[in-house]
Amino acid sequence: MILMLDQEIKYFNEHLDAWLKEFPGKIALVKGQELIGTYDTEAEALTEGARRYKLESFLVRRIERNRPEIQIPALTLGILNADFAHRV
Amino acid sequence: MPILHIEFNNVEVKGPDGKPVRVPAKQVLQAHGPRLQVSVSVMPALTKEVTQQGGTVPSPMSGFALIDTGASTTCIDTEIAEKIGAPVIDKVTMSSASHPDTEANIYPVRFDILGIGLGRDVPRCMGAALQCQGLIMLIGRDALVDCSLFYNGLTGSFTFSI
Repeated sequence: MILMLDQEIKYFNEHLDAWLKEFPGKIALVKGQELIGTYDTEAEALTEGARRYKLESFLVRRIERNRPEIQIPALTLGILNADFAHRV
Repeated sequence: MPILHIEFNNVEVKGPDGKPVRVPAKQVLQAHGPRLQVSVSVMPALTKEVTQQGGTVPSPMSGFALIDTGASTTCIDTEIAEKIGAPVIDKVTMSSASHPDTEANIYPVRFDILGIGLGRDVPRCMGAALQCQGLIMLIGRDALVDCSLFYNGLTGSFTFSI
């Protein structure tokens, strides 16, 4: 699996405090070490990202202190990988 | 509103003597869960921008999706996400029983249920290894906010609409 966006995420984290004052709650579009823009909706940020970079990776993330928690018990508990004794 | 009704009747497996044995529908639903055949693609808003500039987008891919009301976020198999050309738009850190603090990609995708024209955009779909379980997607609560699901364990059926 290819993991990308290290540069963008580092840049986002470095500027989060300042952006929280300037653009709280907006959606940031970041490419490399540049804030391309801030948007009201994720769809707007994604559309602009695709317009500029087509299907290359780019960071789209809400400017907020705490990120929403993701809960996927089937993955975190490994339930999908359980080997059932009685298969159907 | 189109409604999809799936009932797991007429499912047969090989018995101990090699002859086919019919499995009760409720048992099939219990074993496999509410699965749908879906087609997954890059979110149309992105596809439109790419094609307008003369670019091409890989074809959608199809397979099974499991409706997972325990999942807060929809997941797509990482390999499938890469094959359909979905860009990585963020990363999250996941802890699992087998792999603590694993990073996962986030992709903007869409799923369409095959044959009935129901579908939904998933702007933040998490990548995970699902194909080994015969799945390409887990449909989580972020997609289910606009859906209704009736799970009938007694009859081995479920009804789904968007």
